Amino acid sequence: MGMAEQEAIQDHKPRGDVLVEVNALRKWFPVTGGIFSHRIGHVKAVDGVSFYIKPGETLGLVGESGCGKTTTGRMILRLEEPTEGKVYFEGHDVFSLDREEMRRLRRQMQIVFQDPYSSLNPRMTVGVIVGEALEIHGVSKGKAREKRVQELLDVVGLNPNHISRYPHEFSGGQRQRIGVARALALNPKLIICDEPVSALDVSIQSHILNLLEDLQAEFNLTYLFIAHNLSVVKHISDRVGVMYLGQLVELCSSDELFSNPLHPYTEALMSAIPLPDPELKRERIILEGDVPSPMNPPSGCHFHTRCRLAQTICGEEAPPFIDTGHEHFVGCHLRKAN
Amino acid sequence: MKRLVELKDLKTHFFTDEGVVKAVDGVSFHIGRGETLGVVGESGCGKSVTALSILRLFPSPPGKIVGGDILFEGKSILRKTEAEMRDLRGDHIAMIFQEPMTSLNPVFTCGDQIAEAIEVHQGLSRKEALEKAVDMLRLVGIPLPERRIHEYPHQLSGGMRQRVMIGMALSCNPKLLMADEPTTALDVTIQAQILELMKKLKGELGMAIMLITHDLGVIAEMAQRVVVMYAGKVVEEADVVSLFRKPLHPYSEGLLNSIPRLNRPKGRLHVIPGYVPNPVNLPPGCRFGPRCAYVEDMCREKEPELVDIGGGRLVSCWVRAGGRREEVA
Ligand SMILES: Nc1ncnc2c1ncn2[C@@H]1O[C@H](COP(=O)(O)OP(=O)(O)OP(=O)(O)O)[C@@H](O)[C@H]1O
Ligand SMILES: Nc1ncnc2c1ncn2[C@@H]1O[C@H](COP(=O)(O)OP(=O)(O)OP(=O)(O)O)[C@@H](O)[C@H]1O
Ligand code: SF4
Ligand SMILES: [Mg+2]
Ligand SMILES: [Mg+2]
Repeated sequence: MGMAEQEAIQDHKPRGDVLVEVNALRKWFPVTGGIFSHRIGHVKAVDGVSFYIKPGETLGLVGESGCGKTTTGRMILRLEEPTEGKVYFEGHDVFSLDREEMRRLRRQMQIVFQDPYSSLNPRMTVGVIVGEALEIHGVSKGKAREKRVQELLDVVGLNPNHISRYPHEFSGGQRQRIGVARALALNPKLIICDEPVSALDVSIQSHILNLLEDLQAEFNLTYLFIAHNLSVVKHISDRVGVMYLGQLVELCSSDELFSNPLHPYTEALMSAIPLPDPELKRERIILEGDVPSPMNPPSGCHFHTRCRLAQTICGEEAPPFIDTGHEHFVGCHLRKAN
Repeated sequence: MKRLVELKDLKTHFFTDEGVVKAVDGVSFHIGRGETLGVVGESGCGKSVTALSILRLFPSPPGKIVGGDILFEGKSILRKTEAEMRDLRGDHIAMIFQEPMTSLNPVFTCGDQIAEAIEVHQGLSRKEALEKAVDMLRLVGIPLPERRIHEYPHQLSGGMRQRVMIGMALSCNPKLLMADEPTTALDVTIQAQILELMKKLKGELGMAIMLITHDLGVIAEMAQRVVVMYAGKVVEEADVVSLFRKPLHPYSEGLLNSIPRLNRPKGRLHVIPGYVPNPVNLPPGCRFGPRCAYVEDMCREKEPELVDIGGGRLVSCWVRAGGRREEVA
């Protein structure tokens, strides 16, 4: 990254009207090899990502496996320190907070994981799992805590009397509800949902999606919703960001993305979704080959090796991520502002 | 279409400590030559066990086929000897699984594994078999196949491994390819490549495909006819267009309504209340009854049969199809 860019990040003034702002965020994981475990390179998991999330909205994040969605989410929660860049939560620079400040901030941000089977401790009762955060943060204890846990179970549609049951006594969908109850315990403002329905059957998936929407309306929650199922993302998101090899390639309102995709990768991704309509005839854009390794991303536009529109410049220069109008951002040399 | 495979009231049960798991409990359907049959249903409804029964490859014990029959080209496979089954598996029926890593052997190169399969089943020499392996990899769209045959499975991406699996499965020109969630573990753009490949190969080689998936989008794209399973039973069978236009069984209807659609306005999603029943402890009467919006007294008392209502449609529901053969006949 050049000096000018460095300074731009330093000088950046956080926006006042958003809940979360991510600015030029990077995470490079060192890769070691050989007998002495030398560093032989980096996985550029997240490589210069900027976006914001407004209060009460749902921002969807889509992209293929390994493109950096989870790492981005983990950095917002500061479960991962960035290599470069900033995250602001309500205008506060998250990475500059001390332990005590971070502890207070943690209450505002929660996460729901993909796998309802492995994300819950099998030896803890539901009461302990959901109430743990209340204890850690000293919010309530004894009878009051139990009452709060039962309230939470009720909110997510579980039987409050099942408070002393263990995770294995619940179905997949019910376990995901436990995960949601746990996330809600401290009245957070932001919940990062990392593939919350990917492991669930369709009939259970619709229960959880409805629940997330109901809770958002009731508690004015803000979601970062990570998923690879585009139909699900369209359904739940107000705006959607599309990632490819550690970078955002397109970001705009959900309706706009699906009716007017601008980035060639987004177009290909859309046309690859199998749609549940056997009478639909459409032209498919089949991408050749695999996603390149994030250790060695292609020069210029990361997508140029698979792009059907690629020109000479695409292999040479990284395209800027620009607003083409109406907050429709795209990073492609061939799509300019109008 | 001539029938290639026919399942007649097949029952495959597992005898476990918790009780008898009626994984497949009276399943009947057929697959025509060169046809793609989709099998859908939620986790645990018996899709994989049905496929494994056709190959007689489910773990036994605890599993056992306790009733019904499976015909391949008109002959019962249940009466075949183990040696005859091996021939059937190699020469006529091939299967690919969801996770190609677990079904490829990590200590052999991809070329060795395909060549091995070809050698055993087609009586070719090692050299000829390796040449054929290269051809197969080229056919399934693997770049530089001469080089790739010397690589080990872990050196390939998920999509490449699934291609190798398909290459291996097709190396003996099977009449039936059974694909059990072949693209579930893959990204959408790679899934699109594999589905496109399966369509192309089917066109070229003329085999039948039994495609198992819980993704209704994949079914709509690939299948000509569809079997919907619930709790070890077929609840509906129809051609793909009719099923998606107007699903008749309340479970099929619920499934189709509960998926978010790109071309529909937002709003609350339809939900099917409750959960799939425990296969050891099935509800009396219609197995879908406790979750069904149309349930009547009859449903709770007697199990409906799969009834042919004409036009190639079969439905097992008291309300939607009378539920009893003699009433319809
Ligand atoms: N702790 C780590 N050490 C090294 N590499 C990592 C680490 N965590 C993630 N990566 C790598 O960073 C890249 C991005 O990973 P990430 O989990 O963010 O992707 P993702 O978009 O969430 O993918 P998926 O859809 O598969 O969950 C991948 O190449 C991954 O292998
Ligand atoms: N070896 C086994 N022992 C006992 N029960 C089994 C065994 N294999 C399968 N079952 C049970 O049989 C039922 C049907 O399983 P099957 O694997 O066919 O489901 P499926 O429809 O393929 O589900 P999925 O979509 O999750 O793959 C399930 O209840 C399962 O638990
Ligand atoms: S038979 Fe009855 S309970 Fe079963 S699906 Fe039909 S209406 Fe519902
Ligand atoms: Mg992830
Ligand atoms: Mg299965």
